[in-house]
Amino acid sequence: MTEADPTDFELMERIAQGDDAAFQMLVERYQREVYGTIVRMLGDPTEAEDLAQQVFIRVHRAAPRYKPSAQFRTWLFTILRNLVFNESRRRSKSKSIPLISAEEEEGGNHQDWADVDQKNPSDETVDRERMKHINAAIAELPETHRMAVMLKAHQDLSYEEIALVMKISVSATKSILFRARETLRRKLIEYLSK
Amino acid sequence: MNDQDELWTLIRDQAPLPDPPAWFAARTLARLRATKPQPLAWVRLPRWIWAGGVALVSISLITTWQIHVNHVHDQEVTFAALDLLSSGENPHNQEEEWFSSY
Repeated sequence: MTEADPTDFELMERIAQGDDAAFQMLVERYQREVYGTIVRMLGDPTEAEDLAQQVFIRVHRAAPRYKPSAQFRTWLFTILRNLVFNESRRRSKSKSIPLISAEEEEGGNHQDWADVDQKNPSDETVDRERMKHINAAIAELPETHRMAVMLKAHQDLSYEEIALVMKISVSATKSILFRARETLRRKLIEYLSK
Repeated sequence: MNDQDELWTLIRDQAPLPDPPAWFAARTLARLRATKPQPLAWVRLPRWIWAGGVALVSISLITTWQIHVNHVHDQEVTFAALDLLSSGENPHNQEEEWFSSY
């Protein structure tokens, strides 16, 4: 974001006045973080796209009432967290058994979460196998641990901000991140220096 | 760099978030526009609904007026009867006089 780019608050003010261009600018600014986080949380790119759109539509609806009492990013991820957890609860209630695809019947690999990034071959410095291994390790974490890790690692939120987003205490946040970190360190020890 | 930072850096750098589809922002804006409530949508109701509504309103207004008129008429009759009784005159004599005048 350059100095000439409007701030998040300025964009929200313009969105509240019905400025669609401001809304599109906001979407483009945060789409990767929102979409990417939801993909990592749910594992389905199609559902992630739908849910990510819902996040931004909720942001638009809330624009007239928006007050910058906290960081915009924190507020945005609170909306994301609510939608993701609602979707997870809905999934666990339906407990539908997915149909086996023809590919699976033939013994082929079904797409898992780690394969989602195969459509993004932009960064050649990223080792594909390492990325797959890291994503698989994160995917095996419990949902709350996974969300906390995403917010810490990719968004670099503070403990207080993560606690706000996840609606838990700061001490609970630290405890969750500690346990998640220990689990990930065991699984990813070969990629860490110690 | 401590252990914590190293792990988060590893995750951030070696497993970056995937990019959304190129059309994501445009689709989101289109979806937003589709969900926006249409102004004065009630004006676009079919004519038969308008006609039915006007008819219902008219009937209810007329019915209310008639109830009001009947209520007033009933009150007038009641008052006349009470007046007659209180005046002491024999109402039957008055009726005979009225019929005999025809």
